[in-house]
Amino acid sequence: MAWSSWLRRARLWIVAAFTYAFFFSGGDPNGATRYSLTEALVVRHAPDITPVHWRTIDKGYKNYKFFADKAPGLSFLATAPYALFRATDRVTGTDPDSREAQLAKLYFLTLIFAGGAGIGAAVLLRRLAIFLGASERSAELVAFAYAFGTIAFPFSTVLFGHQLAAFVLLGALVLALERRAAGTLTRPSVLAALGALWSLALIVEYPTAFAIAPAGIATLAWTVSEEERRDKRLLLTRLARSLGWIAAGGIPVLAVHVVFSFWAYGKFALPYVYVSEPYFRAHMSGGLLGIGLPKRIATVGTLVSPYRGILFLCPVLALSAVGLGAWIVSGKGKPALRVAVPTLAIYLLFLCSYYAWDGGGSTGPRHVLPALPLFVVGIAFFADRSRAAFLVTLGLTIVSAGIMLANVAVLVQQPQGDVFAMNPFYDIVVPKLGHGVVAMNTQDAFVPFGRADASFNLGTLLGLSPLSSLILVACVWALAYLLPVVRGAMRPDPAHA
Amino acid sequence: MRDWKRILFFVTAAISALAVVYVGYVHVLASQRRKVDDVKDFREGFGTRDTLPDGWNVHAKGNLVAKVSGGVLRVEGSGKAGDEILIDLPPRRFEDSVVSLAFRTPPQAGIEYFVGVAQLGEPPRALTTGWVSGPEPILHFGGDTSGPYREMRAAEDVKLAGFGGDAGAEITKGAPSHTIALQFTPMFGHAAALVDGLPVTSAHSGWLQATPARIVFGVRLRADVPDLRAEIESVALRTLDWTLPSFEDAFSGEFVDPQRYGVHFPDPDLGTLDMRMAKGGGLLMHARSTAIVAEHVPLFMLRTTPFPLRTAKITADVTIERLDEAAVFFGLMGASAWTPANRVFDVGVAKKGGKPAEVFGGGAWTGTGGLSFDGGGTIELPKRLLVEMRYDAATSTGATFVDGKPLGPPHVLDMKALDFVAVRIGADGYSASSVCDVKIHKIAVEQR
Repeated sequence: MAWSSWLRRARLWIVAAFTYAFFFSGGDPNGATRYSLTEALVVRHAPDITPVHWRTIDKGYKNYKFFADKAPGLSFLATAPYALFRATDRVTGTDPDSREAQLAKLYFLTLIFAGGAGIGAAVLLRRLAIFLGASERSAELVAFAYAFGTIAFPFSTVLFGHQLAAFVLLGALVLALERRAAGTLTRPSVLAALGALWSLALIVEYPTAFAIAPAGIATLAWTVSEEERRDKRLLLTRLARSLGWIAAGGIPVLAVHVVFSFWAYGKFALPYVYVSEPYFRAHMSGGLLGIGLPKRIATVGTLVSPYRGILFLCPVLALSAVGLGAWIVSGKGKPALRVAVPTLAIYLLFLCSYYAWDGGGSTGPRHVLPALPLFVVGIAFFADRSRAAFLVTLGLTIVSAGIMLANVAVLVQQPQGDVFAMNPFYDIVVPKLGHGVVAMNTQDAFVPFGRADASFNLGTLLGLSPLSSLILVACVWALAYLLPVVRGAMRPDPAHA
Repeated sequence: MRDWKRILFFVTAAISALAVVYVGYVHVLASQRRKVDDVKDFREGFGTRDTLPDGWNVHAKGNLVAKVSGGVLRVEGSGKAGDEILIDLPPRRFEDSVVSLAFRTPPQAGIEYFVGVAQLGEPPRALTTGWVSGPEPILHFGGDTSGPYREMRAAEDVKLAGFGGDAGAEITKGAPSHTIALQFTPMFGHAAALVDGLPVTSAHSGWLQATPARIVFGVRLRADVPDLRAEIESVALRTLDWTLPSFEDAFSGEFVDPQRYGVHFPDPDLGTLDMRMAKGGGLLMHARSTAIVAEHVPLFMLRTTPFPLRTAKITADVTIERLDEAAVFFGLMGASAWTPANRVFDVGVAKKGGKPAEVFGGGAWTGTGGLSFDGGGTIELPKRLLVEMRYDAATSTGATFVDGKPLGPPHVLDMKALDFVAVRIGADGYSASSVCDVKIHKIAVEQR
């Protein structure tokens, strides 16, 4: 019985782990540049990727050297497992630069820092929903919806930083809320941990600053007691103390970035400043690092277009609005609401204002990912309102998960094109699936041109047909979620036993 | 203390587990990849064999038979149009390569020797080139050139008698044996057919590197042949190297080295290209547009295999015999997914609108990815030009010279060291009456 109970509680992360590990969506410039920086740090002990810069278009150029142009946090973290893999190569006599060894390293770094982060974010989301007062059943449903019915799924299978940033941000929010409720938020260790988490999110994805600001302000406010609020001196002392501990946790993390920056560029600078590709440079020079005023095309494109529209690809997110309403009406989790609302507003504004709102080669508008859990969590309150609401949520979750599964199976890095004319899902994904084609990403992290073996899934790798490989995933999902329902239905009613 | 020990044990166990899973995964990848091995250079000349090598499969349509004897592969029998002997080789992961087939000229007409590559899967997708014997031999080139996003087919029959001037005449007259070849350069999305080392036609191809495929070759009949005697001398494959070593090429041999060059022909609906080796050395390119078009038409491009850009001096000795409503250019072009083909650094000569021919320098040096130009004055055609291009990898600076004189100031290029590039000579037409006649005396690439 205990085993069964554990399995029921653990099935979300078990199923997510299986699914994220199952799909290897291949290389792309974003993942290649992060991987190359990790490799440079471990192998050459250098901050630049010059010898292999041809692997990617996402790079900066300074002092006749090439550098990864992404926030370096993920690459820093990846040095530990990468070094372990290199050491393992030495022990086992494997050529570390052989194609299989390189692919395996990319696969595991992706699994750890994108897949693992995706799993962590889904589990934290369920925990947050329950903490805020949603039922376990609805919390489980929205966590499943997040893990498989949103673009969190595809981006848990590629080496981008968004999922790691989402996990870290959500972790910080859950920590702050739980410690606030327990009355231990003001402990130095807690505040330092929050500072470290926010700093880590920042150096993994710079735009997370938009989410850190409201969370940080709210957390500072939560550290102030009623008594301190009434006394200005006490208030300032408390704020200074809280800020100090947050800084104590955050500064070492940020210092790593600053040191790296001096090492690489001779001064502190964000890598984006030196972006070398002329096309990117032209756009980055507009507004603040490419962020300008909201544009209609970005708004339509981000939200509803078949090209990158989040609601088109993840219809369950249409419930985000009513979910937020249900959350407000429920009167539950008000402190979290004060973080969620401004975060959602700022992120929507950012998505509609950034020149690269479409995310380049992407499934949906990937820049929303760090804030995506907050778009989803309110849906649990909607699902709790009635049986019909739960069923609507369940139905949209199934549809969204099907769409996302198809996208992940076929192509995550969908091509760029005309916002109003392109429909990658119906023009590429569905026809390819119809022809039994999966894993069609040809971008490779190790060569600067397409390869037929750049992406794959574990099923096809082990000899299954493309269709069978997808059926296997669907069966695992069904087994995890339908079997307990069937078993429950078959169990004799205790009242009649 | 107990917690500390538990954490230590958990961390070390996690490290070991990760290492073990990683090793296991490398093994799975390695074993799965070896189910279809990487392609390797080979040449099968049959020699003293009396059977086909292991793993070669013969597929026969009709009454034709294949047997190895006397150092050749003989295909014999009484056949009807449509009969075929097709031999396929074990599958390999394809890379940029040249597949070739050498055969003896048959006495009968209507016999097609073919060689090509067929992808695994159902239905198999094949791209082949074939020599069709007869009083006017034909080179057939065609098949499925679809890529991941686009379905495409190529199909063309080129009359060899009318191709390549003297070279075409040589090809069709009297030679006891010939070699046909299919050159794949997926990096450029390009496939070309060659006869006796001379490119004859090409097509855009969406085939990818590492595509699992088999070499296929054989003989098929396009007419009834009661007493077929076809003889295949050899089948070979050579992969193309992506590290272009320094070289100097005066085109004094009999073929355009497919290991070094690819030739892009114009779309058959829009233009024609005749190319041949000139007696005494040099490569003659004669291109013209054939359709009513008002915008530019790529007439031809001769380019090297891609290579990582280093400090280099690149020279071309060319005579521009004639230019009508066209431009010819020589220089460097991007040659990878991340250094696009429109990122160039060229010296060109353009003649349009009845005006004198103008020399220009053009390239991506503004930091925007767009093209900029330096003027180089007018010249009278025909004119022999010595074009020189220097690239300094340390500073990304490129400078061009025509007959020893600098053409504009040195520029900091958007092409950086180790970007994958190719050396090219090409021509574009601007109208339905565009003509470009060029003789390439020499190309030299000196890298440091």
